[in-house]
Amino acid sequence: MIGWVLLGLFLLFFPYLHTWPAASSFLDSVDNTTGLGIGGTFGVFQMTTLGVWLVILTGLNILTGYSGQISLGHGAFVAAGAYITAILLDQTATPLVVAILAAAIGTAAIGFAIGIPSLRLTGPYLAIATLAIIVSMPQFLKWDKVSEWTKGSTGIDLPSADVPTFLGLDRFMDDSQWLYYSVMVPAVIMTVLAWNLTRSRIGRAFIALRDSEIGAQQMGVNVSLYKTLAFAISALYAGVGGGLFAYTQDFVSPDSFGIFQSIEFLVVIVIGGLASTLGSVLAAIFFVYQDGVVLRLAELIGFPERLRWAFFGVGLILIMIVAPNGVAGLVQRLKTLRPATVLEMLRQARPSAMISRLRNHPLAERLGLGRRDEHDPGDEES
Amino acid sequence: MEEFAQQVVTGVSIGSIYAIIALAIVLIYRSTSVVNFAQGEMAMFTTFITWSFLLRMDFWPAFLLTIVVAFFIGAALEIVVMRPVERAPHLNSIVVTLGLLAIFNSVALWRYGPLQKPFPDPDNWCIGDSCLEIFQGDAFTAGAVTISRLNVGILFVALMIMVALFLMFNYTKLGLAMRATALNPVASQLVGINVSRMLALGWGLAAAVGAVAGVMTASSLNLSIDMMAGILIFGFAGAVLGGLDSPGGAIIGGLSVGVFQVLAGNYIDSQIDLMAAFAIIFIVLVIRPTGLFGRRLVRRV
Amino acid sequence: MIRVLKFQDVYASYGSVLALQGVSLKVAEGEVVALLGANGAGKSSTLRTISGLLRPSKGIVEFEGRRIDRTAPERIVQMGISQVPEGRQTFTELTVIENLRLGAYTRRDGRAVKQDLERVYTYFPVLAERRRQQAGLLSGGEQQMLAIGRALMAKPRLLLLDEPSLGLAPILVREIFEIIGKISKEEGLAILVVEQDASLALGIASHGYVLETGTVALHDTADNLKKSDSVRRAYLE
Repeated sequence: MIGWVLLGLFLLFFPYLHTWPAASSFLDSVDNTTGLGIGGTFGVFQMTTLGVWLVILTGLNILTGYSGQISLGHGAFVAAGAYITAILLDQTATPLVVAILAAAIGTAAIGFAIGIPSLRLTGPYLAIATLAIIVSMPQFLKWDKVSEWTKGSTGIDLPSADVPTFLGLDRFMDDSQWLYYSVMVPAVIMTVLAWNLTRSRIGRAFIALRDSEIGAQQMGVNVSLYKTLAFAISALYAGVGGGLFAYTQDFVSPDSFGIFQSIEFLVVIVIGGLASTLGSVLAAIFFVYQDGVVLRLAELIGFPERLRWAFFGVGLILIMIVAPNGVAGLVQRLKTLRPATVLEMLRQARPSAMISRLRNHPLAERLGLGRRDEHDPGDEES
Repeated sequence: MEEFAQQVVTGVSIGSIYAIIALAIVLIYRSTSVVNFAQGEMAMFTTFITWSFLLRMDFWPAFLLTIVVAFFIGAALEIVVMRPVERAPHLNSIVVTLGLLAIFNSVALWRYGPLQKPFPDPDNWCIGDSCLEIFQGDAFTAGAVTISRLNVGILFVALMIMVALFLMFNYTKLGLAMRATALNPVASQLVGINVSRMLALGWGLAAAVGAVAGVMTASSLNLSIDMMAGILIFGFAGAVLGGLDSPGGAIIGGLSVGVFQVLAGNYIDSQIDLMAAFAIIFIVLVIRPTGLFGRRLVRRV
Repeated sequence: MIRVLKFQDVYASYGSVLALQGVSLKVAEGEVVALLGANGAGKSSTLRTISGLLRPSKGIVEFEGRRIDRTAPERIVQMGISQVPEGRQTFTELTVIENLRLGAYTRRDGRAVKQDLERVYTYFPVLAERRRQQAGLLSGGEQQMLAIGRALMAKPRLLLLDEPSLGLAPILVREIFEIIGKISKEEGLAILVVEQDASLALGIASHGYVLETGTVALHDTADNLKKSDSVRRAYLE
């Protein structure tokens, strides 16, 4: 409980933290050592984008983590939301909130429309079908027939978001702080909603159909309905996220939403932890801050900057080997640690046990270092 | 009509590289159910290896040597990196291959730089004075339809790989064991097949086939670190269209994607050729959820 | 009698679920041994441990005097142990002859393999008739014959049979057990057979073990087991 209150207070006052000299110099020194990027106005902006990605990744986690459907084209839904919002703001006098609601509904409808034909597809086949959507997206946005609205490859430039003078808000906050709250409030609400959703009947139905469609059917879950529903809900989240993206960046173009971004969405939720709200939060943190930290690490260890993606790749692979259920899974495991388990882990970590495990590694067996017929002393004590 | 024929021929020549990459993807998928996202970058990387061999030797020995090196890189990756995640959730192995993608891309950038490298065009694909004729000389023409020698050569190579794999899978003991492993790993162990070795072999073969695709791509475009990105996606589309567990399907799927792409560009709207091509793929998948030649999925409760 | 298989105080588990809790048993050359017990008693786990699919956490498994509890499955096949797994597990998409050739995968003696193929065909003439067909198109009984034939192709000295009667009509089951008995006699092959239907297994076995929750509850000659009250009550009636 205290943790939640502290988190709330942190989120509430974060944009003002850097205006307080002592805290500001602390944040800057954290940035300097870790490369995170949480200090100054830039730090506020980073946290704002974190809110945007949190909404999007929470939605993707509902689709992939809970209902078990892989989407490699989630960026297309984000793009739809961003463009709906941007077009409404650019060409009509729609208020922001209405524009984002329209984006949410419009994108959910698109999600529903794509979810229905995708019902029969599973695994890699679904992944490729969704990949097809994201690959085609830029071409569609640049197409003559729609460029009247989408402004073709130039994209839509929106006026930058200013603090409204309404209620004298501008006396309390600058533009970056205003943006922060206008993103963080919906982001927190939508994360809590998702958390509730996943623990409701609908969430349990999603999990049931992920684990076994036939089993879910026997339990009375309408498989087609729930699979499409998962698509629609996750598209709705992507739509809101896209709307917030357009508003905070005040610019959208067909190239804002590439294939690799969509792939990265999937990567970060797997790393954060599938089917876990904490996992989505970690995924968003990872998505925003990974860049700076990896760069900083590169600097510290002194490997060439061009190798930074290799470093990232090695990190990915190691996380997948060490924490198959993502970082959230690792946290969950740490939470349930009891002294006895810790002792057992230490025992397993003894050099002799480590060596015997290494010798069991397929590579060791291949090299002839593995054990064949002889007995292993490490196992006998158990 | 002739125009149409020319479009199809152009499509097939573009598609032949997709077909080779698709084949590499299928080789891994059918034995391990892993979609290897690093396939394209592996091919790019091994092509750079060819390039560095070329500084020291003629084309054909460099090419053959690369295939051997690629084979060992692929097998080593399976043993060191893929095996630890073999039993983890399916998405994890996909993330691992994405990690490999990042590694290959970045190591190539670091080692070879961002600039394009000249790659010998097929007229210089020789050992000493003897050259392989299929790649050299003027374009073939039939009426108004023409196809360049290089494209004929690539198509020929794709078919050769296909035939070689077909012979291996169907007429050798090793091939039979690889098929058995893909179908039923436990039963394969019980007849004495070293299943892990077969999986490593599958990755090795895929990397070798990918290496061929890389060299073909470099000779029709140019050698650069981003040359395989687009091709990988079309290769995927081809593999999925054909059915991820069917090598023959991969070839046909890859060629069809090339043809779709060209036809869509010409007859629908050149601005949306990708969109149209992928729309067709999407529709085909909705009608046949496991591709044109894929096995029907059997799911257990 | 020469001991073919020795299983001494073996423990094995799937993750945290204990499957075997100190099982000991022996099989001598040329004899048929029955392994009885309820579902989950550890019968299949015993066979999986012998074949190397399940690694024991403790205990000794010896085949012809050599330790095999740390040996890879494919090596174990090569050494002379073949298993006919539960549910047959034929390669349904391969042809009958391909299945049989896979059975001889570890062997290098091509000519002898051909002779063995002919011998499998004489035991199971239906396989010869259908050699070019996909295994998946065979009936359940024929697939069981194929699975046994495949195991024989490795020229084993110990054959492990896991529930050969599973899902088959009684008349077919009797036929298959007759052939198993015949094979054991003619080939001098040691057989360890797991079976739900105790009367069938004890009909061809010389002695048997009864497993209960991962341990040996009873061990006796087949005749005595058939008479034993507890076995009758649990497995025969």
